[in-house]
Amino acid sequence: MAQSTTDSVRRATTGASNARVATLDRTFKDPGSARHHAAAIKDYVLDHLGELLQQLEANCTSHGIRVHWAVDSASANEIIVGICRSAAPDGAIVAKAKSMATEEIHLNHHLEAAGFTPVETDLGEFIVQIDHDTPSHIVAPIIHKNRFDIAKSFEREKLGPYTEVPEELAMQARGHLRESFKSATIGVSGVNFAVAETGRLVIVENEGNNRLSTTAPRIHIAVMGIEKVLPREADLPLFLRLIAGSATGQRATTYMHGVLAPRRSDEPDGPDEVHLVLLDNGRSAVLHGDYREILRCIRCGACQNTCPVYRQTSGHAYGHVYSGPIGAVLAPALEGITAMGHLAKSSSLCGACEEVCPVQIPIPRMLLQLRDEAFRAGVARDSAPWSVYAFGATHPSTWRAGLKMLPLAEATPVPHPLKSGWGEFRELPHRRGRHFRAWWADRP
Amino acid sequence: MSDRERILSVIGGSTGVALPSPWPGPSLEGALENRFESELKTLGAELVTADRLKELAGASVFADSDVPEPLLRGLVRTEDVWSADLGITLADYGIADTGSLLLTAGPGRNRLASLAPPHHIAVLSRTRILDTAEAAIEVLPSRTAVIVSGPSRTADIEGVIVRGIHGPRRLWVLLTD
Amino acid sequence: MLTCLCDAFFGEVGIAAVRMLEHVGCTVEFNNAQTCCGQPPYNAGDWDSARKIADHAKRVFAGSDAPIVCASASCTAMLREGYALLYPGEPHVQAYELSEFLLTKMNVTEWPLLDPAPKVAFHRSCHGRGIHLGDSAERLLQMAGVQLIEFGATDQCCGFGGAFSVTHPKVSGEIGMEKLNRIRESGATEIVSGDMGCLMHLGGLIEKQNLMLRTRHYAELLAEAIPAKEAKLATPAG
Repeated sequence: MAQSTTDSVRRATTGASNARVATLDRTFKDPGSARHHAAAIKDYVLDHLGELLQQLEANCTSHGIRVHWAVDSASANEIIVGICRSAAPDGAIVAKAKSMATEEIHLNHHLEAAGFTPVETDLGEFIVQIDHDTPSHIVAPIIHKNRFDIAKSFEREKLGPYTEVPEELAMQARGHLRESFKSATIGVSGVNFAVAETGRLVIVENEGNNRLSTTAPRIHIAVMGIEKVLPREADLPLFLRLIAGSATGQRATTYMHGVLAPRRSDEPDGPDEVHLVLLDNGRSAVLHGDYREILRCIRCGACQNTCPVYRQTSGHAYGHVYSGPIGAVLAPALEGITAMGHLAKSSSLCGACEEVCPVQIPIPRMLLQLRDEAFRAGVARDSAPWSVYAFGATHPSTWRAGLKMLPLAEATPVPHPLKSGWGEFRELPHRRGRHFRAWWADRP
Repeated sequence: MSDRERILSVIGGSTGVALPSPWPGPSLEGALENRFESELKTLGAELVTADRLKELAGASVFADSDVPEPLLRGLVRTEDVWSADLGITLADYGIADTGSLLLTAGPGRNRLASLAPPHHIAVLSRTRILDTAEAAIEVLPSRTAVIVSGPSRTADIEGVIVRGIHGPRRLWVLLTD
Repeated sequence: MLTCLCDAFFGEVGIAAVRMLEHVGCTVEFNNAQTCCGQPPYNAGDWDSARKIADHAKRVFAGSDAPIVCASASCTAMLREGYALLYPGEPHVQAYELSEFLLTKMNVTEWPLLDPAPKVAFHRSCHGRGIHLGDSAERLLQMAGVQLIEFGATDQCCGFGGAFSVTHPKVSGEIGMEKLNRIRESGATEIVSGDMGCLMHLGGLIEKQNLMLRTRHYAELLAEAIPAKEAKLATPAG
């Protein structure tokens, strides 16, 4: 990774982490107990998921929101493309608000293949789209780019005169994307929280593109992972505070859009149709395994911001829509150990992710369990001869004899378990001072 | 088997985990109106008086049907929300804790009025300033609604905060009795 | 428990830990059959090998009802939490990190002063975070008059991560260099920590880069503060 990219990522993640701590400390007398409370509510949701989804469905339907169930990404894409075909001509613009669920199912690719023109309207996602890039962070998709990269992209796309000033770049994007909102027949968004007791779909954002995408077009399609349901409207304030504070260090996001129904006959504007796509895509199976608590995740990105590995590598190194600590668990949990098990090794197991998580997901424990599962499946095994090590460590005399030979192994070119990866960047460890066992044996 | 049946069958039934009561939320001390004003400023929005609207004479405005007529004097009404310089709406409630506004869709209430124009003025009764988001959620009507906390913003370019990326870059709140 | 890294490279830390425990009146047992806690293969995902080693460790320590103390948060975390995952349903192993044991079990409130008082940067190991050690080692160091120099991003990992340092050596090294750069910016010339993994990794980077930084375990400083004659009186009991 280029140094400038590392610097951008490091600066942004460090800033976000500091803001998170300051805001949560101000918002909650005891942030730890708020996180614990949120985790307990999420555990209730995961335990009662079937009932809550049916309650959500019934309440949405009663307000005129049409509910669709998608067992996997193929099914979700088919449903969404089907809705688009029924309502819009070939080539029609689909205004897209930022949504990890639609990234997960690669919706843009399917819309394009079906002849539609998806336009990402979140500034970061828009830049990702014009650069044919992929997002590298679940909250800040272009954390890996700087203003000069963006200036060149905007010049290439002829969005306005060349400028490196963030305000001017943003206004060029505003002007360009306005036309998409006005001409789109369909808007697609994600869902942050869906309230079972009322059927309200809650979307949080700062830019306003999400509100525009879900208000101006005639049809709004909301795509949500099935775990995003909350029991009660009264649960919203806690989760709104936690997601705003954990994601960007804000006390409240600029907009909390609470969609309850399509435009009613007495309302002057708003979409005529609202569709809710409930996406499973592996989640229901995760519910019954060791990685169940990963479904508490509210996609705030705090674990990415604090992770020392993410800070050095940025999100693209993980090779998946979900990166950082959350991705290292979610990707193999959803897509299987064979395809994604190697990600469990991309962690120093430092535990910072669990410490910052607003819903207390035990990510380090899950990474260890994934490593065990991957090892047993023969995925991403390292070359260290652990069975040989275990033999030594269970035969004390062999162990002691081996330790005596260590200085010899250092001095000679015999294979050494640490020499390959270790030595390129660090000197090999060598004994400092006395040997404990000899000292102990010689004590008077 | 439909997708719905497949998903629900894999999820299965519950084991009886209990639902904790809702998080109680903070309690605020001091005058709500002062707190509301200071939080509003922190967000980059501000309180204005009716006098201040005179500065805007000649601007094109898209307004909710129930905005008091005197507030619109000197402004040019437009029916095209996309070309308006200014949107004026009523706010149902204010939230002192975060300087936020609750706006509800309804008769005469255009959702785009608070969103599409580069300037938004929200008219709020002082008697309708609540303390926290918890209180606002309790009175959330059975309609589509939005809680607005400050002007539209992005930090996507190098973390620099830019206002007005898609929604209004200026947010003014006018308190009425 | 001595721990494998003390056995192989950091014998002085084991010696210092025994002297500290004896200083506060403990009788230390050391079973020569002990080897490793099993964490290296456990972290690498080879839990069968890890269980073999853990079985051995459990057998070795079953011979005594004395509490297990390690001069390592990492090995303590393995005994307490790693074993809980390796052996679901079995009772948790009672193990203590050295500073935690001295403060919470021996109620240590004072320590002989070091003269002259060293100024050091203290790196908290991540496993210490995992088992909620908080500032226990720093408190002991401060009792001995050690001045702790603050540096930026103290909560960040040093990049060691056991198997991670070998499977992802470049990223591991870069994280470590960021830590070292922060410490150097603070003006500190000595890094003190409580885990041999961090010390071995940071020490290897320092040597490779020829940096003017010294690394020590906190037990080495604290044992140095104990009057010499006291050490001569102590006799092995195990």
